Amino acid sequence: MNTQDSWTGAVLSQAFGPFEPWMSCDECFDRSDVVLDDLLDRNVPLPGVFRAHLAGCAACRDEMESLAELAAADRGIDPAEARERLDAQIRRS
Amino acid sequence: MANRAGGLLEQEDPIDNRDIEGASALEETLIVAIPPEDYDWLGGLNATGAARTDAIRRLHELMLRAARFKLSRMGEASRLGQARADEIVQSSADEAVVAILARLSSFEGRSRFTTWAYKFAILHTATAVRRESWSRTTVDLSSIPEPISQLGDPLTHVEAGALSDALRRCIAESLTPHQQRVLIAIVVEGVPIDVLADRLHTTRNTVYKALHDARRRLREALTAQGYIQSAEEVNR
Repeated sequence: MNTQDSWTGAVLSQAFGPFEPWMSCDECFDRSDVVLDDLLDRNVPLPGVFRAHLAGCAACRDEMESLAELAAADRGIDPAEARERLDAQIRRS
Repeated sequence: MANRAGGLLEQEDPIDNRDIEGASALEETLIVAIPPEDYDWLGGLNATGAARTDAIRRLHELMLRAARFKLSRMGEASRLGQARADEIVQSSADEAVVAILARLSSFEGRSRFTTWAYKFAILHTATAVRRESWSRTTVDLSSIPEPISQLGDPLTHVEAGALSDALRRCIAESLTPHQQRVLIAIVVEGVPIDVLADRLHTTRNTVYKALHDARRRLREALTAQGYIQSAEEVNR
């Protein structure tokens, strides 16, 4: 992909992205532990607002993935599996 | 999220740094073999005297572990050098402990304490690594970069060029200058959101809101001009 295609693709993806409904980074941080434990312990799907935010905010997603790996290790769950469960939820958005 | 973390550090009930220093000094002492998830964190951290000091030492150990883990997962950390990486781990663990003690009363027990605590170390470590990695990089926040013309198939060139032109027009006409800067910096230049917040002297929340609004306006503009279908049309 050349520079023009790359530029166009990157910007266009923002118009198609599943970034609604709105949630702030602070709210994501505040609720991330509860949402993640629900996912790991009870297989509760991520709320839609969470999936949308993590699809749209690379920093929050990166931090949430690390949290999933650490929390998984405490439970004797394979961290890679936990991360995949989280990523699968985000891809649903 | 440096701005938010900074806010946490400035909250009421300031923590005496001697708590952490005392905990660090005790790190070489015997640790009772209770798994972190089974330890009575709230009981220990709300206690007084030696029990509180022991709980803070345990918490600091936990935060060090989380900070090391996070740093090990960040590719950009490999360029920091061992000494700087160690500094970031230590300072992030310290800041996480301070933030946790300041917000301890807000922990509702709806998650494991360890999961709740880990996120503070992860946040501080990730923010510090990203900031350090971009510290010597200039971010041009003054203009939209021109896409470079491609060579190759003429039809593809024309179609891609038309779409690219439409995008640029939508950005210029539909987005505010601030939204344009945020969209291009994050989406095209790959600037991390917290780094951009620092450069713009604002918060991560504010930058994300600008990005979110820019995305919505861009989608609306492209839909109005017929370049993409609205959700209603797709579902029809």
